Amino acid sequence: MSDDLRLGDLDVDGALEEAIAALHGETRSAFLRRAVVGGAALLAASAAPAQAAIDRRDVAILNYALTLEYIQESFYGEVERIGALTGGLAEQARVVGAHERAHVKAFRQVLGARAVKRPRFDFRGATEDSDRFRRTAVAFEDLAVAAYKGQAPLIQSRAYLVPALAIHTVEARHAAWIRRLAGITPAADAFDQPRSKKSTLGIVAATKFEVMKPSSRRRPRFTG
Amino acid sequence: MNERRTRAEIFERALLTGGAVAAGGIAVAAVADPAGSQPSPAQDAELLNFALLIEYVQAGFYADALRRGSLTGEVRAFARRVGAHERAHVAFLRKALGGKARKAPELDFGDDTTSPERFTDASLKLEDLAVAGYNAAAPNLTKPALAAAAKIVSVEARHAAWIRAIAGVTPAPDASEPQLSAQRVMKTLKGSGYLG
Repeated sequence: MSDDLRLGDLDVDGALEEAIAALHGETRSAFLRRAVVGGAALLAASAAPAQAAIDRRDVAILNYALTLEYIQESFYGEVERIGALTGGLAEQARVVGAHERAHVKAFRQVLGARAVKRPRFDFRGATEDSDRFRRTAVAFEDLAVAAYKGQAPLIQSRAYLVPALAIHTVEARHAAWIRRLAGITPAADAFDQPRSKKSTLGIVAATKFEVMKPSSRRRPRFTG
Repeated sequence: MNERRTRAEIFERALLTGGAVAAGGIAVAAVADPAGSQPSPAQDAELLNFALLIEYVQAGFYADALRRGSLTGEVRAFARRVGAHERAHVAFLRKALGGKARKAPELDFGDDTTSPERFTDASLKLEDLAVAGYNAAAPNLTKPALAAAAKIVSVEARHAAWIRAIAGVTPAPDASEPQLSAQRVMKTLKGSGYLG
């Protein structure tokens, strides 16, 4: 697949590397981002052949991660659709929203038919006002970092541990980014603590953002 | 001076090719674990010593920058807080490793800590390098060591995002973090001239 760009394939003689290194960091980021589109696809592709054999515990962990990604994806997606944010906040929501979409897509591909359905959300104004957006985004991102950290040692297969760790630190970057925009220190402590699934889902439930659990049964579209 | 400048540039080049290692690594992971990568206490000691080396370099870097005194405002606040974090990471890893902990290396940061601009540029690359190195090493750790490393790596990612924001570049360039093998990180640190 041509989308699965690999820098190594392109850059065997280092010529391209030299050229990019001479450019500004932003360009390097843009270039790497292309590789990461490939990376997200690879997360799914790597798991696809083994899908039928995913450990039951890993299925539960991946679905839990997907649940957290659904919330974030829906949150930033709604922020973008409403368009109430400007400047640095709008940029953060746009970039982070794209990351969360990539995460959702990757987990759904890995899980296939076992993926939990997307719940319906009502963010109760948090997507319409910059101050409420900031506070909610800080909470979500810090929560995601702690949640991934709690799960990493529980993942059975290396095939899912590697991408989960790669997402974990991206969530930490999101958290630091929005904390700075909210005027609070991006890195408060020398050590970030994990949070259990039960505690994390308790916090999610307390927000009341999730208004409808998707039905586990598929309703027939047509009757009669 | 220009020769000094290239120290920081070496990080950038390493991470560029590091992206390739990361993408390849994810694809390969499902096929087979590389031989000899089965987690073990002996391998933990090796990998945690690698992490300790990264932390020594970072702690030394921030201490050097603060000693030189050219930093002001948010950049200085960043160096102070992050420097304290790196010292805490050094202490934590030394304690975890006990008698197996490596010695502090000789460090030379050249001119990379002499101005806010150079500091910011080098710090950004050092923090990105640390995250990429931890993420590559972490899957090879035993579960208890992985849990401990995970508490550190997200803090390194916060540092990276923070200094990137200060530098005016995107704090989170990728949806999936690139990785860099311990060998590549070591080569990069040696190539930078920071490590003797």
